Amino acid sequence: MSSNEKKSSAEPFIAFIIIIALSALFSAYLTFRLQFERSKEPPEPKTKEMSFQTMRIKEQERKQKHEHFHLVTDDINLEAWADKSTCLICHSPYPHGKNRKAKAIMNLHTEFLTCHACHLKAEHQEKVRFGWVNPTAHKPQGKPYGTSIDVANGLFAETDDHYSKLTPFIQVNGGWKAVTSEEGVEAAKKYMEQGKTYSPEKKKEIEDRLHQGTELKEFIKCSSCHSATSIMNFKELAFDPARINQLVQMEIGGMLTNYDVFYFPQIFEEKFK
Amino acid sequence: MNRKKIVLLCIVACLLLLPLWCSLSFARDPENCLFCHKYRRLRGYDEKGVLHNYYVDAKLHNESIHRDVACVDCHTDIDQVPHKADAKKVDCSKECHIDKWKIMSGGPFSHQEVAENYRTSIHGVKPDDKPEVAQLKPDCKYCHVDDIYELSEEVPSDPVLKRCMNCHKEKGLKDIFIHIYHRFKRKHVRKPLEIVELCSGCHADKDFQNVMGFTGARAEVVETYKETIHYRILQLGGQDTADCTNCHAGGTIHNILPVSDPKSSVNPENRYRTCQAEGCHPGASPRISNIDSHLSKDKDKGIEITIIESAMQGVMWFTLFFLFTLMGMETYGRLRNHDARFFRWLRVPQKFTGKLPAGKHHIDEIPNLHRYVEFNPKGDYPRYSINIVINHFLVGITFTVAVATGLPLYFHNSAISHEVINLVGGINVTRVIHRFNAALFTFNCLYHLIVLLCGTLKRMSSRTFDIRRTQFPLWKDAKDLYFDIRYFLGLEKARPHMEKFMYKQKVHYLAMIWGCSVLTLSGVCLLFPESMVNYLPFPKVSFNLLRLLHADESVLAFLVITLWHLYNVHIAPGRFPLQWAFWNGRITRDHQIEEHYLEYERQVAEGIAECEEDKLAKGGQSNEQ
Repeated sequence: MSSNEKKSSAEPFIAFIIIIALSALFSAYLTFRLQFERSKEPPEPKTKEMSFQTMRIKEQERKQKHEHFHLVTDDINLEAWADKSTCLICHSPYPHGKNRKAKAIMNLHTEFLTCHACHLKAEHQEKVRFGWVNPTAHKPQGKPYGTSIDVANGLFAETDDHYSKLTPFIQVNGGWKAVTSEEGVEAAKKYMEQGKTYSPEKKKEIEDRLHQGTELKEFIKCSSCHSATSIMNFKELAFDPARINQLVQMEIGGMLTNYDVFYFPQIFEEKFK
Repeated sequence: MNRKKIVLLCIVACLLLLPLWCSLSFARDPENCLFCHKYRRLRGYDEKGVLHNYYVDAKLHNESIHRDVACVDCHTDIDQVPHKADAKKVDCSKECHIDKWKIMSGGPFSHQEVAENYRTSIHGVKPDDKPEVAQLKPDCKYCHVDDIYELSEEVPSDPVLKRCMNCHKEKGLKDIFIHIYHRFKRKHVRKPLEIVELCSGCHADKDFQNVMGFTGARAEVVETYKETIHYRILQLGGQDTADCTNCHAGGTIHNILPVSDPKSSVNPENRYRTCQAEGCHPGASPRISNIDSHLSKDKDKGIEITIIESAMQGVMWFTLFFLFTLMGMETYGRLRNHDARFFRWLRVPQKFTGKLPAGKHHIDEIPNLHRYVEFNPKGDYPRYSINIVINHFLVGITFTVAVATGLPLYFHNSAISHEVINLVGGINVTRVIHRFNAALFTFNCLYHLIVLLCGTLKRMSSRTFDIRRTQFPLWKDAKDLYFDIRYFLGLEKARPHMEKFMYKQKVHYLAMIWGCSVLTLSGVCLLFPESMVNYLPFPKVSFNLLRLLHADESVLAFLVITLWHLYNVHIAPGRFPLQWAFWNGRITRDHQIEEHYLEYERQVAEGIAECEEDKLAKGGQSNEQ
């Protein structure tokens, strides 16, 4: 009986302490923590998981948005291929930097060609054909971007296919197989994440393995495609005659090769000044 | 010259002019720069690893404000193709050749005046700037992109334009008219939030601040601006409040000057004119410069305000702590002492087994009388007049509307706030509703004061006024609180005998008086800053403080009402789910006896209530309903 009485006198005391403590904590949360929560910036919307290089480019573009005066639209193709090409996991979509005068001209091709269109392994170079590959589940209605000219403004015609790229097809077991380098994506991602911890020997070994199907030196020159004897059958590849005409008669390749300077004629200056 | 030769010459001339015509019909690209630059990935890294973008989206450029300017008019150092890799940066103050402009000036167009204006501003590079500082100062293209020319949004049928066109029939006049006209409507092409983002690009960047040597308030300008009502309105979808340039850019947008410069639009001497400009605060007087336009809750704003703000936080914590403790105690105590079950309709009166001698008044002889009495769920005894019921209704409505339209501004970063504002009909509608609601709220306060005054005078004249039956706090209330807590902890046998308004109601009522006064006064300050700053003493402290208190007090009121009021009248044990006093002003018998015993005694004496003790003494357990 006496132990029961003792118990009943301790219980309200414990309840009192618990109630006081909980009230103090909850009040403190509402008074101080709530203000902190309030000043938080809204969370960034989640973006699609991208490869390291694509994220890097996106971040660079964000930082450099004040560097480029002319308005630009999003590069849909960049995201479409971000996780579909082993090369683009480690290399930038603007990979050519050695040739100072031609790097940008070479880089512009990455929107239309997979890396292997130029860097195909030597043993396949003799017998190769080209075709369009769309790495996404999206099924566009129009023709690939860059195959048609809009007569109204002389620019590339509007299309919903900004995904497809030209890629080489090689003969495997009697049939034609597209070379897109998708199979090494996971290995390349792992290498990008953990590569810094590897020894130089291991690094070289992995890099060699990743480059197994790739010829580091490009096997085609400008004129290989941009000439009447192009290795690409532009007509079969759905290019319009007007666009084919532009592509095969391009003198830019020749200019770059020979670096013949062409000065703007004075006629323009005379007209406008 | 024979006919054949003339035809041949014409054909040759046409062929020669064909490229020129082609380029003019699209964008001004006579040199066919887009031959290469139309490719999206015409980009490359330089030796330092910086990625350069040489791409020009031709479709967008064709619709841009610079579509009539030839590439070489801006990129003047390029005179060959393929051009050198190290093309110079464009100098926007150079002359360019736009035919349309010649209609106005007769000569080539130039941004020279603007560039000169900009050079003298705080953003212009000065000869004594350190190289690292000069490098960080923004050039033209940091703020300007090749904006799309928005022709369609304007009013080409304007009667003024028609009158101009009587004489000035030149092609292009309409474009120039529209160009000038849209400047009357908007200071800049960008939306206000885009301006804030633009300025934040540098001013919120910690690395930038370190190089520039910005510390203290100067390093917090973006954060503090984002706490102002101006930004909150913008963030929630409004357009017609001040962004950075509205205050800092003064008359011409490019001559932003340091605050210390006497010509600066934000110099304390000129600030009221800036507030007056663009019709924002037309009645602003020089005293408006006392208002801290970057006032923030979280940042340093002077010792006086910091102390009072901290005290307010202390008050808030203590209020919540006090109320939560009482809620906890009451829940624990009333359940422990078997005073109530959670659902009020499950309450069954206990059987009274005590013995009381018959034939006399037994009031005050049964400590827990409320446990034995029956009650009408809709109320037994009168408690509130119809006026108080109306007051309560109006408070309920105006409080809910004020919370729904006000708190989203306080929690402006929350996604829910945006949802609520959209649901109400946008920020502008929300602001109107909030103000109308505030007027109704103030009217209700006045109505309540009149009711109180008339009621008190009436009672005084009939000599029935008793201060103990009012909300006026008395020493007894403190004693009641002490003994009530003892009862909840099981240290007392019964609850104390309390007045018509017990300590809980008095705390609540005092809080209402404080809250209504602060919210009304601070609300008026926010609504009429230019007038109120003239009337308030020490506006630098009082005005800024009141603006902060509007939000503080709102949050406190919201928490108290949602947690404390909700608890006491809806979810306290024995009160769930609701009582009908809000509708008919009546209180149930058990409730009156339990928490307002002295009022019950008086009502027995006045003949309004029957003596329940007598009934129990006579053996009558139940009351007729």
